[in-house]
Amino acid sequence: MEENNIIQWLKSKDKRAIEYLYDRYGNALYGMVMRIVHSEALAQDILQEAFIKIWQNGDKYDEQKASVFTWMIKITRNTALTFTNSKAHRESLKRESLDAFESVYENGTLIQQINVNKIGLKGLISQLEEKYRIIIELVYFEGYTQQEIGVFLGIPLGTVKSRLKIALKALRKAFEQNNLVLIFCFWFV
Amino acid sequence: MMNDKDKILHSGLLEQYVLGLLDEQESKEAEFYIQQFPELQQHVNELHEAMEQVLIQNAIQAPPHLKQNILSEIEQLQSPKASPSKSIVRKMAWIPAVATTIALLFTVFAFWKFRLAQQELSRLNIDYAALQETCSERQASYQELQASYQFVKNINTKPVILTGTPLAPQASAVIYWNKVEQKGYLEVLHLDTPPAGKAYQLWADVDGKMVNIGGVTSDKLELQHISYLQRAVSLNLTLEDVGQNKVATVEQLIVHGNINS
Repeated sequence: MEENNIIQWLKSKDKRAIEYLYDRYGNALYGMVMRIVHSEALAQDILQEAFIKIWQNGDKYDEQKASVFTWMIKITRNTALTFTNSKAHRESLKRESLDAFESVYENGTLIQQINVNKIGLKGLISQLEEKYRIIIELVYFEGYTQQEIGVFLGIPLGTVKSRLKIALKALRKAFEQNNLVLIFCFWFV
Repeated sequence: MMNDKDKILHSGLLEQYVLGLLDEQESKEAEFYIQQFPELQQHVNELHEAMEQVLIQNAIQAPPHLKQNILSEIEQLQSPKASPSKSIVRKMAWIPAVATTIALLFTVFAFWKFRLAQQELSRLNIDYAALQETCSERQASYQELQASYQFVKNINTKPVILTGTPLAPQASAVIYWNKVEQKGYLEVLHLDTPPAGKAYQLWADVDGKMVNIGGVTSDKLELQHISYLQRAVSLNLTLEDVGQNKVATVEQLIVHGNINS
């Protein structure tokens, strides 16, 4: 199907655009939301809300700025983060002690142990060095601010920023190599 | 020396932009630079692609009913009943203006009606006060009439017919005389209107002397209260000068009658 058709449908709020985009990106977005909210029921509600926003705001999509998938990621991620940043959600996290940071004592010193990877990440990101991967996971999937991560990991804000930069660079590189391998495979076959 | 483009490329701003870590203002700045330099746009596109790839690689199968739920909600939102479209909203935009005008006109009309009602009320209050006054006058008059009637009907009340003298053969009157209650009333049956400067005066014959018991009118409409004298034997009406005379002018006797006759 022509990408242009989809954009036209999206902009004219045609339901077919949502059907197509859901089939193509629904599971990827669901995976992202699941990692952010850690609950199937919540993830479904949030994804539904996000797709309604995508449909309602279709006319505002600007193809010059980003791909439609990136645009959808932004809307979905913001919807999920709005929820996790809500007071009610933060309170429930406190009650259930499900916070990503669990305080433990080790050799008499309080350290923050990071409890991520509730749902393990695969593919490109898993190829990253631990210290880079964790920053991307915390920032992108858990919605923590760079300041919060700096405090909890006990590293300066500057280091958090530089690690993020390196992590994304590595990710981009891995992605390019992946593509090259694929192209090579196709060419070889 | 690094130019703007290289500075941004190495600052980490674009990575933060791609990861959605910038606030609205910072995002706008980043977008401004991205639009300026195709190389930055290329870099951002590649970062986006990498993140897209991460998400695709980490997709989780969503439950099959979710897609249908989303499409059903969209259908619901599309139906005009569920939510009026913008065009309908736009079409309805005149409603508040008209509603305000109607409300304003109604207020003016209501105020005008209120003033009219106020005027009407004060007019009615005046009428009511006048009516009340008339009513109490009538009531007093009725009570008076009732009292006269009761007096005339009283078994102790005796009528004394006063008949005309040769001076006024047509003249006649009745005195209602009650020795128990010691009261007297005069009813004029026929008396000519007195000439100018003259008035009727009533006298009682007591022990052979004419004693003044007051002036009366020729008015036939109501009973006239007169002074009562216990020993009066006859009652006499004379025409006297206005202001009442102390001595009766017997030559001007108009009517008379004996009480015990």
